[in-house]
Amino acid sequence: MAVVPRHQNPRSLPAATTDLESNPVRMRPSPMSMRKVVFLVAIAACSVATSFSEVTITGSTRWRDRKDVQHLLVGARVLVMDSTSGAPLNLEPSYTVDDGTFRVTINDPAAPINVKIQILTEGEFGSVTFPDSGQPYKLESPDVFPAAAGGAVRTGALNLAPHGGQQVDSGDQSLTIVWAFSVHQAMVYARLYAKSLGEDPSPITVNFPIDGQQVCGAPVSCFRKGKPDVNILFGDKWDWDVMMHEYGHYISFLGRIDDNPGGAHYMGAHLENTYPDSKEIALKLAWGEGWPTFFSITAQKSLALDNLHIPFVGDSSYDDTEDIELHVDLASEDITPSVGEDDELSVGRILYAIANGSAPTHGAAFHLTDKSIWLALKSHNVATLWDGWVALIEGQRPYRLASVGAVFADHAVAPARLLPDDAEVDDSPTTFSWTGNDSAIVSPHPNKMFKLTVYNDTWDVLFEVSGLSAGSYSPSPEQWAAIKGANSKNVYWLVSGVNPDQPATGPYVSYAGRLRQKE
Amino acid sequence: MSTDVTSRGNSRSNKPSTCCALFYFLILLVSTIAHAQKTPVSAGLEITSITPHKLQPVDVQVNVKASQPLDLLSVSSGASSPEGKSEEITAAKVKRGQTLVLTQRLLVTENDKGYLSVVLNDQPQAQSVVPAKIDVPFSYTNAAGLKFEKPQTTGPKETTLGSVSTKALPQKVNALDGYEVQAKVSLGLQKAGVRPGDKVTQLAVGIATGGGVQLTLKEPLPAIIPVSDFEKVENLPLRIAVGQRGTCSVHVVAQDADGKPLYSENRTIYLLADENTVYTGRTGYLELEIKRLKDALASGKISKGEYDAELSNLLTAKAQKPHE
Repeated sequence: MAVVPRHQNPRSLPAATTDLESNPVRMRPSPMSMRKVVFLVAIAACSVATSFSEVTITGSTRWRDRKDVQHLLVGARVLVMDSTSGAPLNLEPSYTVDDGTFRVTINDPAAPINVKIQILTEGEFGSVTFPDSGQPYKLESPDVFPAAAGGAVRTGALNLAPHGGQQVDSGDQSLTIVWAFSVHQAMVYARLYAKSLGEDPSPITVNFPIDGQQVCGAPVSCFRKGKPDVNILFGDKWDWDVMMHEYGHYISFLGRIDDNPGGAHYMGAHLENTYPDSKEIALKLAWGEGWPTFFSITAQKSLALDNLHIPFVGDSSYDDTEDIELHVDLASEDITPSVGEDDELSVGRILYAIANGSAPTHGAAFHLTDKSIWLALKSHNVATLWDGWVALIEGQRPYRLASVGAVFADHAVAPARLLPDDAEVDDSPTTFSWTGNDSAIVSPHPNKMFKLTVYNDTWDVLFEVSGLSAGSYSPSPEQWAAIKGANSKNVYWLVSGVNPDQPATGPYVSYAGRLRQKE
Repeated sequence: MSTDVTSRGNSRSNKPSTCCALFYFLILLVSTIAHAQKTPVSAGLEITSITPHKLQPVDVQVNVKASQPLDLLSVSSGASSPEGKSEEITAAKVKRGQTLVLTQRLLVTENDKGYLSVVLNDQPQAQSVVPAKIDVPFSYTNAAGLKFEKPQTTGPKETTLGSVSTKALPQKVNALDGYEVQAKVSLGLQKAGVRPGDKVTQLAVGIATGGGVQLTLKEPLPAIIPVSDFEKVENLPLRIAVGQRGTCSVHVVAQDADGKPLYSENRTIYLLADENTVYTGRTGYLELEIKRLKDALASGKISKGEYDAELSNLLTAKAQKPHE
């Protein structure tokens, strides 16, 4: 009988416990208590109902985070083995469920036997294996349990041993096994989130720990399309942001929403400077890396993984520790500013802002659910942020377009710094001005062809001027008269910017500048 | 594709085709890998040679006298720490004048000369800090034994933390079979990856060994590398005795002119020495044990069944007993 993982809701998971607090056999009281009681009653009822020819084995298991704090191990395959022959007795996959418990039923054991339990780094996502071994890591019960037909075996808690907070391999290779369960747990949640987007990704091999130089061509974790497989660096074992980013590559690969050329990349930097000979590579790389970062951070937020109280998990910051120190917030421009469409950070932050309906610096927020974003991108064979823009604005009216533009302007992609803004309409024509991209450092390929469009407050066009190559335009007396004469309390203006360097990108539309008619 | 071309052409015309095939293969390989983020700092660490060598172990005592009261002070050195020897010593609430004593093992050869680095760290948990370093020159001959000279400070900050004295302990230990291992560390900065507003002017570099691995340099390594010297390569002579294992790691912090940390990277190589070779890898001792197991299978020392069973053992941890 197989027990498949249900959709976890970490909001309802018990709090993490330290060694001192935890009781390996009895879980401490928590908000889940009532649910647990119901669950245990259900198990008891099932046990009673089982045939006398069956053996039911129940227990629970926990893994440990970088601080050595225990957490329920969810979605891990459970094997019941004949302790004498080593043969598995349950061939149908059984997995630990939300509360870290498992229940496995063995049919018709020929005679009373001794069994041992193995918890594997294997789940619906695939398996975390030692590279090239083809074998998952295993946590094995320290004791064997006698099992006879019609009986029940309660293993108690099968928890990973403490690692004492050690972050490096100090000589005890079982530490690598302890760490592999962190990788496992991150992958379980990454797949759960992918399922919430409507995907059903095939199981994938997750190699851990890898030699980044040999496997990825650089000392980093990576996803390889050719296999496909996910490869996690030893120094990324606690970094769920990184691990779920790599799984995000797998999802974007399956969904065909990228054409990632691979290669070195940096957050908050113009990749067009890293790849000066190819704007196309820079743009595809920025998109191909920015989306998985969005996936990783949004997955953790969507699953409320902050409730697990695992360091750096469930917040809005992308955190890489140990091998490198990198902490970049998607929700705000902290010490690392967004610099444009060739910046993976701009990509990640734009998607994050839209999925969260974050208020932009100018104008109203634009919100699409993460699933809507995913479906829109999937339907457009997206490979760059420009493709993403096209997918996201489809069917949007100009005023909504301005809200999308506000997000893109905040992250140095769309034209910005519009003047005049929120000003009264003067008697004489006022020059409109803007910047192609509001970036701290000039893009090698900035927006440099512009179109100015002026709307009344029902968003009908008053006039538009295209073919502008400068960041300003002085309206003619006739155009100014059209503004002044508009039967409209407010007049809005947008600038769309195109970068014509091949492959051309844009027009990206700015946020809306507003002019108020004199009372 | 390459097979077809090879079968039709002669050897001369094959060369460009093979080159092209290789080129396209490399392009394909690169194009199918999506990397994780990097910082603009690059820190490479690789093993370049391994040579068997007789090594004379000499136990040494490193004394560090705190120059000021400190919440925390940890002391380590480039000497080896075989089983039974501490890798480092850490003390909390250290008083001025308090002495911390670390006993380690120096692996020397006849007419040896080098520097033993002693590392003092008052922020051992801070990843973006490169600790202070004091280099102690030493020389060794069988006749005169191990002699230390006056320590030299070469760390990124003047060692106001403490003063170092070293001495060889008298007990005699027989020479050991071991290895001299050359590692190469290469440091660099990808300027295109530097965030707007960041002005990287220097790299602070810390190199540490752990376990049975020893690093004793012929000249002290600079702890601060100025911007003009980026793309620096240094050779690290390591030693390890048979039966020992340990690590060599490099910690690089890119800093601005005021020493403010901007980016950091860590690289570690693991070493395991047996009577046949030194196994090295970047992912931990499990990788080295599995490499050794594969060698045992390849050389016929164990059967495939034994290999499978032992591999499975290596990948299995026992759950904590309820009373633990």
